Order: sequence, then structure tokens, then C-alpha cells
Amino acid sequence: MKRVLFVFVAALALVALMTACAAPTPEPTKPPAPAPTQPPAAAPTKAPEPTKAPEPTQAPAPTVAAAPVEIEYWQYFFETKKNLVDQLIVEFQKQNPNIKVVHTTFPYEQYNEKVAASVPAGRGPDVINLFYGWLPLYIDSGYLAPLPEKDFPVATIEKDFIPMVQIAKVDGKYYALPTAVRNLAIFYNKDLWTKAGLDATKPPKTFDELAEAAKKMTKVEGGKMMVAGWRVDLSNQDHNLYREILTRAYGGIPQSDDHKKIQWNATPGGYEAWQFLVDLTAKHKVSEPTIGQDGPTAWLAQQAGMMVSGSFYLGTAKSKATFNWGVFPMPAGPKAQANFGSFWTHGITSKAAKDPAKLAASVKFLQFLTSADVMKKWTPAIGELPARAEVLKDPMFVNDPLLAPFLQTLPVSYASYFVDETADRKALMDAYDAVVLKNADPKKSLDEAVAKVQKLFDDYWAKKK
Amino acid sequence: MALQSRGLSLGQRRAVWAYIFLLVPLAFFITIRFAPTLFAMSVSLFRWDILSPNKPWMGLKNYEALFADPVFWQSLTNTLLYVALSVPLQLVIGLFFALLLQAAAHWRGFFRALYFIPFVTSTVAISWVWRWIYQPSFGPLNKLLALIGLPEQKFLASPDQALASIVVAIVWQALGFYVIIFLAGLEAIPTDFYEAAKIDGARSWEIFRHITLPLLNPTIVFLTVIGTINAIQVFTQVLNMSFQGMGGPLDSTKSLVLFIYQQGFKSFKMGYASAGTVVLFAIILVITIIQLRVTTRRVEY
Repeated sequence: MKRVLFVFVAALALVALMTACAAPTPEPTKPPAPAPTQPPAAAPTKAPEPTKAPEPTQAPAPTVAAAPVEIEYWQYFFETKKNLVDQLIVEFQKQNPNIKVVHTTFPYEQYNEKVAASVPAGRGPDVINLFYGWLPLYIDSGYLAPLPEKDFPVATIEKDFIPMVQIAKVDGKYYALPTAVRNLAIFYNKDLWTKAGLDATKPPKTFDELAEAAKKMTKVEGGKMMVAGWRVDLSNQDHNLYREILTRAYGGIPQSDDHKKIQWNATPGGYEAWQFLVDLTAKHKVSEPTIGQDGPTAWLAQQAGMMVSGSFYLGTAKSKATFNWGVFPMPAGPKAQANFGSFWTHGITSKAAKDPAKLAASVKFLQFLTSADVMKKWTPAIGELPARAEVLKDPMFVNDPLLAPFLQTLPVSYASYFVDETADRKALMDAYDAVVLKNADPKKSLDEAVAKVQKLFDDYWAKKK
Repeated sequence: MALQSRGLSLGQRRAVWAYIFLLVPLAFFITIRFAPTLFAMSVSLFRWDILSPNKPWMGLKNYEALFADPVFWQSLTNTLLYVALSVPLQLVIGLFFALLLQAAAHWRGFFRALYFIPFVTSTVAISWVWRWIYQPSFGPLNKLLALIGLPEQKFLASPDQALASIVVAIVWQALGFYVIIFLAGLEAIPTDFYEAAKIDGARSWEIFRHITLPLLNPTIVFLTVIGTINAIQVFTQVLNMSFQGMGGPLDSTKSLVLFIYQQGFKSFKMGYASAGTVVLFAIILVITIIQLRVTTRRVEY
């Protein structure tokens, strides 16, 4: 009897719960939203659309709608960027008194997670800052809306912006535009450089010269590495160094043009490039995976003479380095000179695109963020290079001794196409670790990395069909 | 109300009220535990890309892919290693310290608190301290090794040592909990048994072997089950002690939960990650059932 009763009650509770779960979750309403936001596509009848409130009897607002619009802008937390964008928003709101921009940042490690978590909740940003490598994921999932052609004509984008931004173009439409781009160069410790008897006026022009310089700067005491001539760190920038720079420098092409085939091991050059990279640790012993926490930390602690990093690191180096340092351009290999370019880019979400007022405000904000004026403020504050070709020619950048090494190789900078940047990077990190920690055969380890990444791409393209 | 109808005896009515009160925690468990579990099970049958509105039905394809994924097998092996290494170590060392503490006449409370502190400390903080201890070249442990003339070890940076290094941190942290539970178990053993054994001339090893250990059986079972479940779910330590939280080097420390987390929240493959959770759930279920069956032999005197 008791048991029957219990089962009955429990079943009742369960059923009640199931039905509660099955009911559509109510749309969370944002407090100060004058217009209803993101009505789900399936439920169009959402009461009468609140008319854009008070009739604009007075002088019509100079910009978009009469009613004030609030849009949300998300980016990852990078102190200098956050501070600059805060200032820029104040400026933007002065120009557009009807638009209020709410600026939110998250730590880089959690960024994708936060975005992902906001989607099922029906919230999230209207304008979002994304790493370009994540674009395929965000575009395919329908998270980003294409930039409206009338506000961002494709022809104009391609005329005004540097070619690197074209990676954000899918099926003839642009989904995102950057304020700034970055590429890589060699950061070196001038004190250690001269101490090793090297000439500061003659930066290495080739990778072999770079390796020679690294050997001279390396310091080993009692079998213990005190200074790594060149801290190789694939978790940082050196996976890009291999993928986009060394493969090309040794005569390979990292990917097929249609982004379907990984070609790191398709040419002898690809293997030579890999051999060069692993030899730095395994043979020349100019680096150790354990010295310093990571590349930049080792370099800042003067445990590394050189490291590969990007223009975005200039700000940190200026504020943190306690020694003389400089930057020289990415060297060339036996076959070519190349560099890796990347950028964080702003897109408009599908959520914003559903609401005309928010879309108009988001377009305004995006136009502002990608304007030449903003770029001229961005580069000195952040260190990233302007994305508009005309701004790049500005003498204030061309003559800057720290920016010039980056600008020089911008024409040969390539952005890699990623379908899963984390997994792609990890495949190369693991291949490198297999060689330096487990004495694996370099060729075999590279082949394995290619197989892993190729599988990512195969799965990705199979899913698209 | 129907519940108070005269048809029910007093005992039955009492039972009904008991069940009504039990409903409150039941409702809690259903919403917080069971419903998400069932939901995860259903998610595992879809390609559930979290950013995408399209979530096509996959049937068992996620599971097929999972069983073909070498990283999944590697993390499963690692997880079993975490269990096989940490649980016996925690039991043996925990019991050892509990026996010492029981024998200590003074300062027992102080020592007990001391041993318990790591257990109530943030795991993240502890992991980072251990990470620092293990640091190559600058870490205190390597300095100590150098002092006694031993070669420098890579610890967390070596694929062969990293997992064991993390196990040490796990054992160290959990020790306090084991000591406290063992102490409670020890104090519950009636002193008559010991007195009788001493009168019979039993040596201390014999007393331990034939009285303490058998009577501690329920405690040991409890700790084994809890310890196994904790070790199967190990996550925070690995996330914080491996470089960039990747479970490296070369996936050598990646636990199943970390694998699931990476698939779900780094690669956004929620369906695939959910398939992993279901497998983990099944493993925990089976292990727990086996443990309860094998180890709950009652010892009667």
C-alpha cells in the first residue's frame, strides 16, 4: 500500500515536472528595453509592436530612430582594449545621442563559453568582437548576420581594407570587419643580444641566421639552461610560426585554396620547416619546454633572448620589460618570406539583425569602430596595425621603430583558415611535444598532426553539405 | 482532504505525511539532478552545436565517434589511473595518520584541524601552489632534489610524471577528510574488544588485523566508494595543473571530465560531450554497484 502510494505520488511529481520543462521557457526580458527584443522566429505574434514611442515633434534626431536604442557590445578582456573602447563609446554616444552602448568584457579563456551560454538564454550582444579564426563556426551556426550591403558595400570594403580581411567573406558576403590587424615579429632582448657579441644594427635576415643568433644567446650552467636563446612555445605564437610562416618560407603552401586540404606535409619544404622548428629544441638546444612558464613570461624574466610575438604585445612589453629590447621583422626562409596575420573583428549578431532599430544602431557603431579616425587612436594605444590600407601609410606609423618591423611584412602576411583553432593548435603542440619529450620521429609526428587536423576539416566540410 | 479520510489507519496516515515531507527533497533532486541527467542523455543523440539553431538527430553516431576517438580512450585510461593510484594511497595514508592521531594523547584536536585544513581550502589555490612546487628549475621540490644531489625532474612537464604528480596533490588535499572519517570509525569500535584481546595476549598487529580492520569495514567501504567517485570525476586539479588547462603534456593527464568539458565548451560539441557524460555515468554506476556488492560483507562477532 505504502509503496503504491509513493510510486503514485512520485510519478505525479515527475509528470508535473516534465510538462513544466516542455513548456517554452519565457523570454528573459532585459530591464530597460523599449522595444521587444529577439522574438523567437517561431512565435511571431508578440502583441502589438510598441510603436516607436513619442512622435518626434521636435527636431528629428540626427541619426537613427527617435526612440533611444540600447545596444550591447562584447569583447574579451584585454586591459588596453577595454579602456580604449570605453573612451570610444563616450565619443560615439556624443555623436549619436540616441544610442546607448553597453560594453561587456569577459576573460579570453571564458569568452566562447559566455557567448555559448548566452545563446540558449536568448540574450547576448548586438555587436560582438570575435577572433577571425572562430568566424566559420559563428557564421555557419547562424550566430552572425551578414553586414548589410547598403552600409558596407563589398566593393568598398575590398578597396579600402587590406586583403587579409577577406577571410571574413563567405558566399560573397562579409560578416565582420576589423579595426586593426596584427602580425608577428621577433622580440629580442638587446642586453642579452650585445652580451652575446651580436651586432644590434644587423638583425638576422634568414631563419638560419636567427638560429645561429639563438645559439650564441643560449646560456647553460651546470647542465641547466639559464637563458634560452629563443624560447620556442607552440602554445603561444609558434604554431602560427610553423603553419603559416615556416611552411611558406621553405616552399610549401599550408592549405589548399578551397580550405579543404591541409598541405603541411605535402611538400619536402613542409617537412624541412618542421625539422627546423623541432631542431631548435631537440638538436640546437636553444630552448627547453620547461624554461619560464611560457614564451612571453620567459622573455620578460630575461630567461629567453628572443621570442616570436605580435604587435599586440608591444603594449605589454613597453610596460613590463625591465631591460632594453627591440623588435625585428620576421626573417625569410630559403624559398620565401611570409608572415602570419590575424585579427579580432566586429560582427553584428542575428539577434540584433531581427530588430531594425538595433540593427541600424549596430551598423552605426560598427562604421564608427572601423573608421580611419578610430584606427589612428587604436594603433598607438593597442599596438595593433590599422586595417585600412590608407591609414597604414600614415607617417606616424611608418616611421615608428617598433611598428615598422611589423608593417614591413604586412604585404606577405596570411591569415590561416581555422575550423577549430584550439584543436588545430593542439595538434601541432602535441606533435612538437612528441618529438622533444618522447623522441618521436619528426616526420611521423608531423604526419600525425596533419591527419588530425585534416579530420577536423573533413568533418567540418561533411557537416556543411 | 482525501488524505485525512477515515479509510486510512493512523500508521498509514503517518506514512502519507512522511512521504509528503519527503517530496520536498525529491522535487529538489528531480529538478537539480534527474531532469538534467535525462536531458543530457537526450542531447547525446543530437548534433547539438550550441551556437547553432539546427540540432539534427544523430542517433548513436556520437557514441560511435566517441569510441573511435583515441583521445577519449586516453582520458578514460588516465581516469582509471587516477582512481587506481589515488584511492588506495588515500586509504592507507589516511588510516595510518588516523591511527597515530588516535594514539596521540595531547593536541589531538589541533592535529585534526591541521590535517583538515587542506580539505577545506580552495582546490584551485592548492593546484597552483603545487604547480609552483613542481616548477622545473625554480620550484622548491627541484631545489630540494638539487640539494641532495639528485637530477632535476620535469614533473608536470613530463608525459611520464605529470599524472602521478597530480595524484600526489589530490591525495595530499583529500587526506584530512580520510583521517577524520577513519578517526570517527576508530572511535566507534568498542574498547571491550581491545581489552579482551590484550588479556588473551594478542600482539598489536594481530589486534589491528583481526579487530580494527574488520570493524572498520563500513568506513572503508564508504571511503572507497566516495574516493572512487571523486577520482573518476577529477577535473579541477587537472585543469589548473596542466599547461593552459589542456590536460597535457600529450593528453597524459587529461581526465574524462576534462575531455567532456573541452568538447562541450571549447569545441561547442554539446551532443558529443553529452555522449561522454553518459558513458561516464554508466561507468560510475557499474563501479559503485560492484563495490557495494563486493565490499559490504558484514562482520559479525
